[in-house]
Amino acid sequence: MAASNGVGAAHSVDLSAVSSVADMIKMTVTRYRPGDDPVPVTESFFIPYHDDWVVLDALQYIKDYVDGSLSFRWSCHMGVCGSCGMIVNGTPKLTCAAFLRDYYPHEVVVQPLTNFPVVRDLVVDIEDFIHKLEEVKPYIIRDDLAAAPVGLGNEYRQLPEQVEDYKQFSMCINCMLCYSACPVYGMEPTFLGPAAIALGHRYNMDSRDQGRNVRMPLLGSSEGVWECTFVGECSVVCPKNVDPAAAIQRTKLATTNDMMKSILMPWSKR
Amino acid sequence: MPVGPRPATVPTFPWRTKSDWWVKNNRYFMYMVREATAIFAAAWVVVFLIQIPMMAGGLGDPRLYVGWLAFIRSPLWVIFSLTAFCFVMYHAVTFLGLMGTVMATRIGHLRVGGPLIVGPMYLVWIGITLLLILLVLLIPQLGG
Amino acid sequence: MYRINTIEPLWWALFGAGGMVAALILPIMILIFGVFIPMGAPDPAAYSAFRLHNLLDNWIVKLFLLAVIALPLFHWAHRFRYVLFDLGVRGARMPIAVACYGLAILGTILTAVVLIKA
Repeated sequence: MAASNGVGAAHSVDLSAVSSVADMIKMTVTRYRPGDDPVPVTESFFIPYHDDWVVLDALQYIKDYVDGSLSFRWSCHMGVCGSCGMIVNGTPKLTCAAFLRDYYPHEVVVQPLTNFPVVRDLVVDIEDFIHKLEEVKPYIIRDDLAAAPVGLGNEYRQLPEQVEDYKQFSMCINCMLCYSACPVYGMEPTFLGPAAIALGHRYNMDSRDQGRNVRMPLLGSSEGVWECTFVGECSVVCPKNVDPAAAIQRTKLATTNDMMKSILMPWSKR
Repeated sequence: MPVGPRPATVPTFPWRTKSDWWVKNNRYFMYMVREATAIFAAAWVVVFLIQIPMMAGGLGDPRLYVGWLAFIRSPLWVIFSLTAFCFVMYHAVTFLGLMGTVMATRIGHLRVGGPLIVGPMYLVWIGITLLLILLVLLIPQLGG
Repeated sequence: MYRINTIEPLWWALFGAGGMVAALILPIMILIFGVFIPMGAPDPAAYSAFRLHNLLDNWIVKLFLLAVIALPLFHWAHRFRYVLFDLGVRGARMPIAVACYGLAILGTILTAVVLIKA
C-alpha cells in the first residue's frame, strides 16, 4: 500500500493505492518518543478525507499506511470503552465520536489528554486516575452482608425513582475527559477529581448502599470536593452526560449539612 | 487523607498547567469573569459602608449630609455603581442558574432541580427588588 | 457520623450565603443608592437627613445592612482565594486563606461597629 516519504515532519501518501478520494485533510499530531524527543513535538500528515471518518479513523489510517510507530489508545470505536480520549483542536474528545467533517477543511490537531503525564505520543499515564477511582470505594457497602440471606427473592430491591437517584452518575466510562478539562486538577494533582467524586456520589445515592460514612471522610476532605471551584467544564466535555460538577456541588452541600447537623444536634446519628 | 498524585510507573513527560489557561477557551474565560464579579460586589459594599456614618450623622451635623450628597452625586460613584451593577447582575444570573444544579433533590416521586429551583429563585429576586424599591424610594413616610 | 479533615464547609456556607445576598439583594441596592438616589429619586423625602437617621437607627435595618455588607465580603474572600490559585499562585495556600477570610472577618467587625454607632 502507500508508503510514507519518511522525510521531515510532513507525510503524504500515494492516493491511487488507497481509493478514489480526491480530498485531503491535514492531521497535526503530538509525538513524544522517550529517549529521542526531549519534549513533545508535533508532526503533520496529509491523509485522505472521508466525511464518515472520525478522528480515530484518521489516526488508524496514519498508523496503518503512513507511520506505524504512532502510538494511541483505543478499543471499542463506539463510545463505550473510554480509551480513545484525546485533545482535538483544543477540546477533550473521544476521538471515536469526533467526526472529521466537523473540522474539514481545517486541519485537525490531536494532542494527548492535558493534565496527565505523557508516556508516548498520544498515550498518557493513567495511574493516578485509577488509584483515585479505587480510593472512593466504588462498590456497594453493607453492614449486614455476613448475615444477609442469599438467593432468589433476597435481592436488594429498588423503586424506579431510587434507581434514578444514581443512574446518571453510574454512566461514567472512565474516559478521563473531565480530568483533562479540569484546570483545578491540572494545577493541583492531589485533587480527587470529577469522575472519582461522581463515582463516590453514585454509591452514596444508591439506596442499597450503607457505606456513606466510609466514603465521606475522603469526599469531604480538603483534597476532595473543596478543591473544586465549579468551573463546570468537566460536565461540558463529558460524553455520557454524567455531570460530575453536579455530583461535586451536591456533595459539598451534603457535607455542609452534615457538619451543621453534627454541631447543632451532636446527639443525632446518620 | 491525601490520595494523590500517584506517580507513574513508567518514564513520562510531566504535565504543567500555565497560568494563562483561562484565556484558552471562552467558557474558562467567562468562569474567570464570574469569579471576578465578587471583587465588584465586595468593593461596592465597602464604599457603601463608608457612607453609612455620613448618612446616619447627617441629622446631627448637616455638613455630613451635604458631604454625602456631594459624594453620591459625583459621576465617579455613579459610574462605579453602574459598573458594579453589571458585574453583580452577571453574578446573579450565573449564581441563581447554578443553584438548580447544586440544590437538586427528590421529594417523594417529585424530582426538584433546574427550573423548579431557579424559577422560584427569580420570583424571590423580583419580590425583593420590588419590596426594596417600595420601602426605600416610594414610601418616605416609613421611618420619615 | 463521620469526621473530615477541614472546616471548608464553614467557609463554603458563608460563601454561599454571600453569593445569595449578592445575587438577590445587591443589584437593587446598587441601583437605589448608586443610580436612582444620585440621579434624583421620585421623592427627595426618601433620602432626607431626618429619614436616613431614623432608618439607620432601626435594629432591623442595622441587621439587614450587616448581612448585605458582611456576607458579600465572605463571598469575595472565598472566590478571591481560589482566583489567586487559578492564576497560578502556587504554595502559600494557608497564608492566602488566612489573609482572605481574615479581611472578611475584619470587615464584618468594622461593619458591626459602624452600624452600632450609626
